[in-house]
Amino acid sequence: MILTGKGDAFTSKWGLLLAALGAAIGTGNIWRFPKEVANNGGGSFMIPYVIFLFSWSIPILLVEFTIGKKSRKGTMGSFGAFLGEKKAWMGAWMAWVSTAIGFYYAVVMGWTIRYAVGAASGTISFVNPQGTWESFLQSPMLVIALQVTAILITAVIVYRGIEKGVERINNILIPVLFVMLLFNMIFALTLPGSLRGISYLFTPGKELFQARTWVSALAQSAWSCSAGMGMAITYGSYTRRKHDTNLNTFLTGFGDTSVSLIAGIMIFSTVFALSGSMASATAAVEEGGSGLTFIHLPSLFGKMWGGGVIAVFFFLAMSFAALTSMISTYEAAIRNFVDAGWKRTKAIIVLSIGMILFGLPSALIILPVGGRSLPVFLDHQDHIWGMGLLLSGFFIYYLVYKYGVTRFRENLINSKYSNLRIGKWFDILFKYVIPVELALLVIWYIIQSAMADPWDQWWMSGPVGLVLIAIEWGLAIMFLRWIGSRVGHKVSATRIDMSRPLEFDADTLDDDDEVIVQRPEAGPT
Amino acid sequence: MGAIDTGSGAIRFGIGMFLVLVISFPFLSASDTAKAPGPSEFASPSSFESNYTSYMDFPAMESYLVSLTERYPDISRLISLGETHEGRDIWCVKVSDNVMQDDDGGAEYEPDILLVGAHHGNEWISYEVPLYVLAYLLENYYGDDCNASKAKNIVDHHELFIVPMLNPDGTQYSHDTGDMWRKNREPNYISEFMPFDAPTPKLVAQSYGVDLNRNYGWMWHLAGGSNALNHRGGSYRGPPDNRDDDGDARIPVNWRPGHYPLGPEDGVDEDPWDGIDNDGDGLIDEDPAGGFSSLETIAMKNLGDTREFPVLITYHSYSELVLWPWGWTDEPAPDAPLMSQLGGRLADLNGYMPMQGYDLYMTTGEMTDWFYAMYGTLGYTFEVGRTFRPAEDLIIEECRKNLEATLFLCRAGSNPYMSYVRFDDNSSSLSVSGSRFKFDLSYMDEGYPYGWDGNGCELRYMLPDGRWDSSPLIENDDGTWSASVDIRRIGGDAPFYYRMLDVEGGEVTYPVYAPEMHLSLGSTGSDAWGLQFGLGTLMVMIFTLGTIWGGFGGGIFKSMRAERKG
Repeated sequence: MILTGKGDAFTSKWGLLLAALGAAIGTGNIWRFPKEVANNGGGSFMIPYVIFLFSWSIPILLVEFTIGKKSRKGTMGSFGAFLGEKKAWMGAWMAWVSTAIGFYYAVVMGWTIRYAVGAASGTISFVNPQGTWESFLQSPMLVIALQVTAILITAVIVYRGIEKGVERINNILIPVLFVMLLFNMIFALTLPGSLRGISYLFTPGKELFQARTWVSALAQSAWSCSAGMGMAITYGSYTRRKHDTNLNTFLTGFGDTSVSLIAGIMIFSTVFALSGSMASATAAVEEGGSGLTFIHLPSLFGKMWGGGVIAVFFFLAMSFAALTSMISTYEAAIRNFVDAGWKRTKAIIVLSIGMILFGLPSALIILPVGGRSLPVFLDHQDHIWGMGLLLSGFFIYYLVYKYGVTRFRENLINSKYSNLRIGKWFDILFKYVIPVELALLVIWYIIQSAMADPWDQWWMSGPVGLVLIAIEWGLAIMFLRWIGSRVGHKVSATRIDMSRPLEFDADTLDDDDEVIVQRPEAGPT
Repeated sequence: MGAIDTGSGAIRFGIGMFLVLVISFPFLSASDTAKAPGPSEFASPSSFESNYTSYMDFPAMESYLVSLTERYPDISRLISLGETHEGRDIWCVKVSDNVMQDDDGGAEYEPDILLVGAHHGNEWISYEVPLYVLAYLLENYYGDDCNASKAKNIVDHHELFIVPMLNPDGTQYSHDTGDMWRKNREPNYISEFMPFDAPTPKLVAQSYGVDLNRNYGWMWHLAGGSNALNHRGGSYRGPPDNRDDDGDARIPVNWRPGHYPLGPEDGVDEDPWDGIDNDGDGLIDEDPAGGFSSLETIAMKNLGDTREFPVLITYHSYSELVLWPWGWTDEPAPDAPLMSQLGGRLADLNGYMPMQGYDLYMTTGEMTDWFYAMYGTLGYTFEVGRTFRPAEDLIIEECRKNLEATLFLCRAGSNPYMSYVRFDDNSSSLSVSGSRFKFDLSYMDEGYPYGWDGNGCELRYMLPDGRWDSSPLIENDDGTWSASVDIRRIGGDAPFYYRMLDVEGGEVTYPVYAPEMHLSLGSTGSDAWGLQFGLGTLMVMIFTLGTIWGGFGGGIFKSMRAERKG
């Protein structure tokens, strides 16, 4: 369909396609998606994953861009502007979630750097990638050094304001990453036994009836598309009003999910084709874990002619993809500090120190679980703050609900510059679907968790325990409300004039002004 | 703007696909059966059971033993414990790995287990059962099913001494004549009541046979547990000792054997087997009054003196009972709690009634009493069946019924206290959790006297190459234990068992004749994991890829048009 256009449009189409995919591609697709699929029973995960793309991630992103474009502020300022300064902490929550994700994301970025360097220097074993992975995890100094490196690189780039340079590199590297992904997928599919991986990825099972699968699917969709992380608000605030964000939101969502599928097919075909037996393949997959991609991609490269070279570029590109995500995280957080009157430099320094300190447990706490080394704290954080996106989404819903759903769509989302008009389905989603699905999910999840294994769930022995979630969320909310009470009035100095459609707002930004990005750069995609 | 917008179109498509999926799901969903394997059923060993459709007489049994031990020379050895009065061998089969060495040449302590049958010639089923156990162990040892793992575990870690027919004379006599002959076939020459000055009696047998199970030493002298004087009686205990074993008697110049009285007051037979220094000379039981007059019981005494049997079973018939010492008194034995606990477990396994021997009737000079009193052996008498000689088609049934109990007792040889731990099949479970088999072991502690060694409890399982590996069993807060095994290490199918170690070094295994339980991922794998590429897979695939990639393509297309327009 894409390639049937007229000749003159062909080149531009390819360019557009690659640019859209490049914006969407990231470690969320290559690292997080396969592990979430594996943790939630393969095909059972795919159905809710697709459903929530439409009924959650895309509408939330849509609203986030619009909020940013309207308020021209960071997340706190936006919520303050829309809902009053007392509600500014909700925006702080969104920034907090993306920052908390950034804490361990820096560790993951460190992993990608390790693999890029390791592939170049030949210290990754293509024969025993499991050994490489575990021995790497068990050398804490190296993991921490790489985590700090990742944070420092990001901080320097954000401080020097050379994101554009990074973007320029990315404009080349990310399409290359995509092409390599595509090539890897096709190569993996040619391996005998890969069909079992496809079967795994698309065969629904009993997990479809578990709340955990649905919650994880929602969290993954939101995580991957950055829905609820506040980054879209931040980028929206830099975007020219004339610039359309509606269609780009869809492109981001679809593109991101497309890349996830490619990565999923690649990983699972590899795992099932290269495992000795069905039992060991299923075991490798069921165990899931953060190592899935890092363990099984090298064995795929090991099978390839010239796989060693491809591995270098692949992991290098993956590092850069992670870097853009880290930059987005920084931008979203710093914007709030700046809104509150801080100097940008100070904000960067404070944020970097916090990133390093709060990321340390994720890098350090590697526990042997049943004979394998797992980054248990990182997995735990990933779970808690992935779930935090549910709450972020709820705040977005609350904002739209307060503003008036139909009014929000007609006044703010649809402007005369929109390439894509948003229809009534948006109203249905925000009036009925999102609140109902959120309520049902939460209730279902709590009931099923409590019934499945009360001890693990209610107390702290289980890393996904409800009590742990409540404690960590509760602490964060208390802290953020305190922050909100301190700086809420600063960040939300101007209230939004609710009555005016977007295009008639006071144009604080001239159309010819320099803007940082045009295309929505999602966060950790 | 055009009426087509990508988002709503994709949503409609998605909702439609979802409805189709939900409706068709019950028909499509592949059964995700990670088979949680349970203990395999006790599979009847069939090949050798054909030998148990009729009662063997002594020659048949003898040649059967010879052929068995010749076929399995590495794990069995035929030993004669001595000859009987009529010149038959008292055959004993030693069963163990490294059968020519004791305790594997010092490499591994292996408890000795004694199984004895046919004290009484008329109790035919009582030698068929130990024969069956013997054949079961030997014939299954080299197999590859759960019977093999059971047999191998018993044979490799124990030294069994199986005396299927202690009383071949009486048994053969019973076979030959059809009489229900109980005792052995030695002639009884001497009356106990022989006056001191009476003439030497002529050696004319006045009757035949001694009840071997009243001819052991312990409390032989007590009245009421045997036929003491009536040598024609079925429970005749044998002649008195009448010897001055300790050399303290005044022996008249003209005394000759058989002359009486030289009683306890004269220093003869004044200190019987009762554990008490009856004559106050500082020595205990140094001049017994009788017992061990028969060659068969002497052979057993010799065996008991040279080996150390922690446990034994002596088979009798009939009554469907499990009996333990004491038989001579209604007082409980010092180890009565342990004995009744273990006896209760044995009775659970063969379905019999457990009780102390005396509760059935008083017995003196009885085998299990002797072994318990002298060697501390926990001895059990199995009163097999409901008649002395069950119908021939019931032989296999009686044998099978007692197999499990016998094997349990063998395992208890290393640690009889294991009978205090009852594993709970209903609460124990085996599940697949991620890449691991998760084992939850639940047991009822019925008074196990020792704590568990937290570092010594493990789950043992066989690797594909035949080596054994183990995972630690970790105690949970509720007293159950859990272990897990990486599925990849097993590769499909593996026998396993739990091995608990107490702080005293005692071992408890489950199943007791470990290992007979098998881990299994299912035969073909793909079927068991619901991973065939079916209609459901295809539909989810079309739904997912169609919606996402289609939607992305549509978005690009729309974006193109918008750009061209702008």
